[in-house]
Amino acid sequence: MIKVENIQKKFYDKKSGDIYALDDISFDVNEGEIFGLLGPNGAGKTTLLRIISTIMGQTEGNITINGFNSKNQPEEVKKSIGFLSGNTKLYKKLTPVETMRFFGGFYNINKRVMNQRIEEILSSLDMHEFKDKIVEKLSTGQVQKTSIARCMMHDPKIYILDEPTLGLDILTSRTIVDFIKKEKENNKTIIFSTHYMEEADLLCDRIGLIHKGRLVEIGKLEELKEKTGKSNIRDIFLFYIDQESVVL
Amino acid sequence: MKKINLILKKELRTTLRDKKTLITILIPILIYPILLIFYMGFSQVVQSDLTKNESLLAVDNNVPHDFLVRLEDDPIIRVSTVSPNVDYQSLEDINARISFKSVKSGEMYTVHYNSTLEPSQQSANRIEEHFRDYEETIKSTQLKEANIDYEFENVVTIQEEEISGDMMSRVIAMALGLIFPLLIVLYGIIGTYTISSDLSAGEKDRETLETIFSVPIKRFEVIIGKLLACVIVGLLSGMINILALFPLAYAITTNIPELSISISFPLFLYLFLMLIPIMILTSAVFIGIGFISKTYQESQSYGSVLFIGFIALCYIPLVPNLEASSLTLSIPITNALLLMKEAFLGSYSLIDTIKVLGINLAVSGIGIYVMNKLFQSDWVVFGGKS
Repeated sequence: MIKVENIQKKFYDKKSGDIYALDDISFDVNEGEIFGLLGPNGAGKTTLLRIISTIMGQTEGNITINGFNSKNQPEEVKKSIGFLSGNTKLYKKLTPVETMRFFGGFYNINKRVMNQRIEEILSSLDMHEFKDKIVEKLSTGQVQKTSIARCMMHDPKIYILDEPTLGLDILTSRTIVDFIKKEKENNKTIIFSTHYMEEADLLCDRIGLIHKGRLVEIGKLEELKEKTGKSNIRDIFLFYIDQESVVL
Repeated sequence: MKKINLILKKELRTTLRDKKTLITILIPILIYPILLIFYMGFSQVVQSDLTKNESLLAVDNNVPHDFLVRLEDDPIIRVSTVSPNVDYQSLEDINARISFKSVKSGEMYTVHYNSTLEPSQQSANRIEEHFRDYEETIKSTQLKEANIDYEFENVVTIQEEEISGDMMSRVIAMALGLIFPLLIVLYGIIGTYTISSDLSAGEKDRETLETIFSVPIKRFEVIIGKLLACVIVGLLSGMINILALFPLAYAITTNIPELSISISFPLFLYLFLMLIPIMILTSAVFIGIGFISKTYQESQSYGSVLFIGFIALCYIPLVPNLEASSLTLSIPITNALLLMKEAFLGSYSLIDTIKVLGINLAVSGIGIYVMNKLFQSDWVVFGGKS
């Protein structure tokens, strides 16, 4: 479903010269799978997910999503994915319904289907109470529900979620976790990044560990436990980070 | 086009829901009618005072009876006779005083008045009119007694005709022709400046760019949608200004019929047409600056410097004796204002209009090209954070 091959992202800085935000990253994600991307702050998770979502371009490498090449067919790729991040903000002066209608408008959804879809999402996320309030007057939880609603509008096959629970309280986080579980049941493919180890443990089928722009390990949680001799994901994560530091 | 339209609608909707922007755009609607009411009210009050108010005159009791009767017969003059020895300063509520003495050549009158006080000046004018009539009557009587035809005085008749029209009216027309377009263009630029930072750097600050980039839309379409929203707000601002100025301009031209200004629909259409490329240019520049800036405040700071630059271009036509020439018509913004001024004076040149529109649209095109180039850079759009 998602094939990432030798991705490199290079920025140029006057002081430091070339900076490699990502270096030679490759992995696959299968249909219906939840793939977790773990790494410390500044590891390159956000840049990688932005490149996969075609929000940002790569310097080198290829990405194929749902059979479409991200460089040559970015619009087709975007139609296949729903992107949500902890940093994804909404337009404060629009209401949730206007937000859904605005973003839905980019996917050539006809009016009748659009209205039906809006109604379904409002019900499934329990949003009727605040559907006509402008976003700036909503609580954090209501905003996050609106964000989820926004990326569900075109019913994508793939979700790319960049630290979706970052900074949220436990109740709001639960909305996101429930949403991921529900979409998994609908056989949706999901890549999500987090640095909450318990979340990764709870949701992910496979995990990729990213550090300093490089993918240091990839595998099922059980496989990683076996490889490292560690019993939980936190220790596995620290094991690889320490190992990388020694190597570097 | 559908996607650009979606962006445009969204930007307009969110912009028009912002109170700050609305106030900025709608201020002329409030200010100009207030100015108009003041202007009309003030001129009416002044006019009615001048025509209706009674003149209170102190007239020395030695003034010849014939002249005194003339004054007393005037319904808006009230006369009090006083002794010639009374000091003028001691007379209260008196607008003017007439004193008299006989001289060798005839009668000599002195009118005491205070030119800084409108009622006193008005009284002096009324007295002067009575003197003129009185003098004519005496002259006519004396000529009749000497058996001389009254017409013999008019040996030479001089008739003056000012071929350039009334000079004062022309000066006022020139001033209005400069000030009105200046206000319209300035307000348009303020409109684009007000929202451009919000549409560009504001999106960076609010971190909503990532959201819009995650949907199937090209960056060029996003930028064009934003540009159109900015241009529309600028034009709306200019249009509101034009409409708000209309009654004021109409009142002035009606009160001064000699003014060589014709306030007409084609004139406003022309002003609107000239405004379009200016709004595209300033929008493109301000949005471009907004994307280079890391924050909204930074964008406002850079924008204010450019704003001063645009104002400087707007003020160039105010330089005395500056006319439309090949040089002045090649300066963006200034050229449009010069043609707007000409249009106010009733002069339109199709060739100059095409030339100016062409120059301003070409410069706007360069602005859009640079703005789009900036918007394609991840480093610029994501503020180097990655």
